[in-house]
Amino acid sequence: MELLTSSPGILAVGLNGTGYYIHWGFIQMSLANLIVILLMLTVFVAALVVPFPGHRDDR
Amino acid sequence: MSAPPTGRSWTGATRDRLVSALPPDQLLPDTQPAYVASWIYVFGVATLAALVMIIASGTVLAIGGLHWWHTTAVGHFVNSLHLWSVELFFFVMVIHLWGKFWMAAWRGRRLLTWVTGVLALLLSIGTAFTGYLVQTNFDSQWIATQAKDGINSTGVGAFWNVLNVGQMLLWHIVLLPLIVGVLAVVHIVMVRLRGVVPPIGIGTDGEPTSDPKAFR
Repeated sequence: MELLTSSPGILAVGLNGTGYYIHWGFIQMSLANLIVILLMLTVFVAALVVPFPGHRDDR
Repeated sequence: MSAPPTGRSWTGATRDRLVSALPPDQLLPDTQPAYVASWIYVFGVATLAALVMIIASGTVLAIGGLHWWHTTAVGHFVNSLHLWSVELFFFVMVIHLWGKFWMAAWRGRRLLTWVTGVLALLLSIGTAFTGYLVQTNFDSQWIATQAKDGINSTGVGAFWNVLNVGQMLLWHIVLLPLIVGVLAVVHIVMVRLRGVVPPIGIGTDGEPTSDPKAFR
């Protein structure tokens, strides 16, 4: 994975290289997919525990 | 002259049924039960918002055409907008699915709501796969040649040819989005008809209850 800068202050990630894969027994998964799944789990748990703004108990 | 009788014609009867099933305050409510004040209830409408972005950016791509989205800066931008709307769509839809699965959202005569959601997810995956096939670049050619073996092994390849870009394009921009759109509308109407499912063990008034209906 390569970091590219096209102009000052703008950072992009080059996706033209070979993907990095996780091997766990018969399970193979790209690192990108693993990161997305972990992000989804994080957002799911956060949605359950983070208080909802503007909620009044009398409603 | 007396007023015409209502309910005699099919239009009148249909109108009466629709208004009685979905009165305006239920179709577009401005309040929700207290238990809806949780972030986990946000992911359904987030999925809908992403779907609107997908359809809007896809419409612009269809207007511009493939030469435009491959060679111009604005075309690249709208192409990326379409891709990332889809990424976000599946991201929030799966969290919506997890939330609804763990609260057994099919309870309280909400089976059709659940089933239309499941079908919308499956059809969306199919729509996204055909999207891979119509990028009109080396990536889509590679994916098509890989996919054809899998599709042919099922026998479906005889009439559903992933190497046929024209066929896949029409499935991607007409047939599958039409079905997903109809399913999404039915899904949302069912949510409005039956209401948002309360948490397990909570009654429709938002208070804990031992009523068996709150558990099945």
